[in-house]
Amino acid sequence: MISDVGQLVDHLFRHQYGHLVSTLTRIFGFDNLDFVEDVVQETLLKALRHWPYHGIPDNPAGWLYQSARNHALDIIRRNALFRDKAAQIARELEGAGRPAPQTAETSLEDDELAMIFACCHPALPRDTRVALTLKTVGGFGVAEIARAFLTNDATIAQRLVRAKRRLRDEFIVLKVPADHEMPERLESVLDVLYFMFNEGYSAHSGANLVRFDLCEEAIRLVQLLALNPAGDRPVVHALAALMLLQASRLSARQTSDGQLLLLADQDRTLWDRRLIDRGLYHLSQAAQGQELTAYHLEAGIAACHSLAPMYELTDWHQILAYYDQLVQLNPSPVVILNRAVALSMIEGPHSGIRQLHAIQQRVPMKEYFLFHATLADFCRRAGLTQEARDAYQQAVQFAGSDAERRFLLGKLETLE
Amino acid sequence: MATFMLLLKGGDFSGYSPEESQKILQDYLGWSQKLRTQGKYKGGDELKEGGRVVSVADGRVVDGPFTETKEVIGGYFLIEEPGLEAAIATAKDCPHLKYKGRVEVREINPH
Repeated sequence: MISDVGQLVDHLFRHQYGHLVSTLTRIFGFDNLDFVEDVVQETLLKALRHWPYHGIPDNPAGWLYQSARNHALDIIRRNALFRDKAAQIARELEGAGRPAPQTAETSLEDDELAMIFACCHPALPRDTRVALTLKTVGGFGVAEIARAFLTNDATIAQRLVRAKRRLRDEFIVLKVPADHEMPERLESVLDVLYFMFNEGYSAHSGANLVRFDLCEEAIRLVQLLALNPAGDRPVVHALAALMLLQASRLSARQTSDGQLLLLADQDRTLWDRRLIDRGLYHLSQAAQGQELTAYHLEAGIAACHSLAPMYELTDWHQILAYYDQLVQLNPSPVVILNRAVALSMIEGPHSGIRQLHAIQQRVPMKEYFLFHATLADFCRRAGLTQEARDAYQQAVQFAGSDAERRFLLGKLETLE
Repeated sequence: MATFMLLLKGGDFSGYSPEESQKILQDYLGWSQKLRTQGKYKGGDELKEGGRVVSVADGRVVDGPFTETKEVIGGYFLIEEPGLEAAIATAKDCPHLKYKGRVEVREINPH
C-alpha cells in the first residue's frame, strides 16, 4: 500500500500542456490544433480522475505523454477524418514515444521552440501573438489570459480563433526558422516575451498572482530559447539577463502589507541571489559578438543595481552611460525620464527637473504617473516643497494600482 | 474500529485551465494523503468508465437502464473510522463535494 501520494512539481500541468500540444501539433499539423488541444485537455482530465486514487505516478510527465499518445491513436483509428493520414500519423506517434530519454527530451524542446516561433509569427498582430503563445505554449486558460491583460474572456477567445485561422491561411509551418530568417523571426519572439514580462512586472492592477506567472513564463521561454543552439545568440542572452536581474528584486519590491518600496529602500538581502547569478551568466554570454541592442543596455543597467551592495554605492556614472546609448537607440520620453533619474544622482535634482520640463508635452507624460512622481521627487530634493506637493497630487490622480496610490499619499504626508 | 466505503459519485472537472486542474488534483491528493498519515486509508481505486447495469425486463436479462451521470461512481476509498459520524466527517472534507460530486458513506458489515 502506498503511504505517500507524492508531490506535484509547480505548474506541471501548465508546462506539460505546452509540451504535449507542441509535439502533437507537429505530428497532426496546424489544421488540427483545436483537435490537439482537446486531446491534451482530455489527458489532463484523465489524470484528474485517476491520480487521486493511486497517487502521482513515478514519472508524471511520461504518464501524461503516453496517455495523450494513446488517446490520439485511438481517435485517428476510429475517425474517418484521418483516414488518409492515419497510418502515417500512427507511425509518427509511436516513434515519438519510443523510450530514448535524452533524444526524446531534445526533440520535445525543439517542438516547443518551433511552436513559439509559429505563435510569434510576424504575420500576426502583437496582442494576438502574446495570447496565442500563452495559450498553446504556456498552457494558460482563456480566463487567465483575460485577467492578466485586464480584458474579458470573449475578447481573448476571439483573438485566438482569428490567430489560428491566420496561421492556417498563411500556411505557417511548425519548424524552427532557417538561419537567414532567424534575425527577423527572433525579433518578433523576443518582442512578445519582453511584453509578457513587462505586463507581469508592472502589475498595474495590484496584487494578482497570474501576473507573476507571466514573468515566470517569459523567463522560462527566454531561457529555453537561449539554451537551445537555434536561439543561442547574444540578443537572446541579453533579454534573459534583463528579465532574471529584474525578477530577482520582485519579492523585495513590496512590504508584507503591500507597501511599494523603491530601490533605495529595499532590503537587498531579499534579492534572489540565484536569479542574479543566472542573470549575470546570461549577461556575459550576451557580451559576445558586436551586437548592441536595447536589451543589452537595459540588462547592463539592471546589473549595475544588482551589483551595488547598497543604494549609496550605485554606479550612477555607468548607468548614465548606458542611458546615453539607450537614448540614441530609442529617444522615447520614457527612456529620457529614466535617464533623468540617473542624471539627477550625478548632477543634482535641478538637472533632472530641466530634463523633465523638456519632455512634459510629449505623449504620454501628462497622464503618466511615474513622470509626475519623478518630478515630485526631484522638487522635494531641491527643496521646492509646493511644486513637489502639486506633482505628487498629479501623480496620485494617474496612479494605476492601490499600492501605487498609497505610496504616493505616504510621500505627500512626509512633505509637511 | 469499523471499515467504511466512500463511493465518489458524479463530479465535473470540465472547463478548468491546466493550472486550475492541477490545484484541484492537489486538493484531492492532500485529502487522501491526510487519510494515509492518519492511518485511516485501507485502499481505493478508480472505476473504469462505461460498464452496464444488468436487469430483468419482461422476463429477459437486458443492459440498462443506464445510470444517470450524477449517479456514476468514479471510484471508491476504503477507510477505517471509529463510527459513522467520524466517517461522515471525513467524507464532508472530500474535495469531490466542491466539484458537483457526491460521496456516499457505507459501512462494511463485519462477518
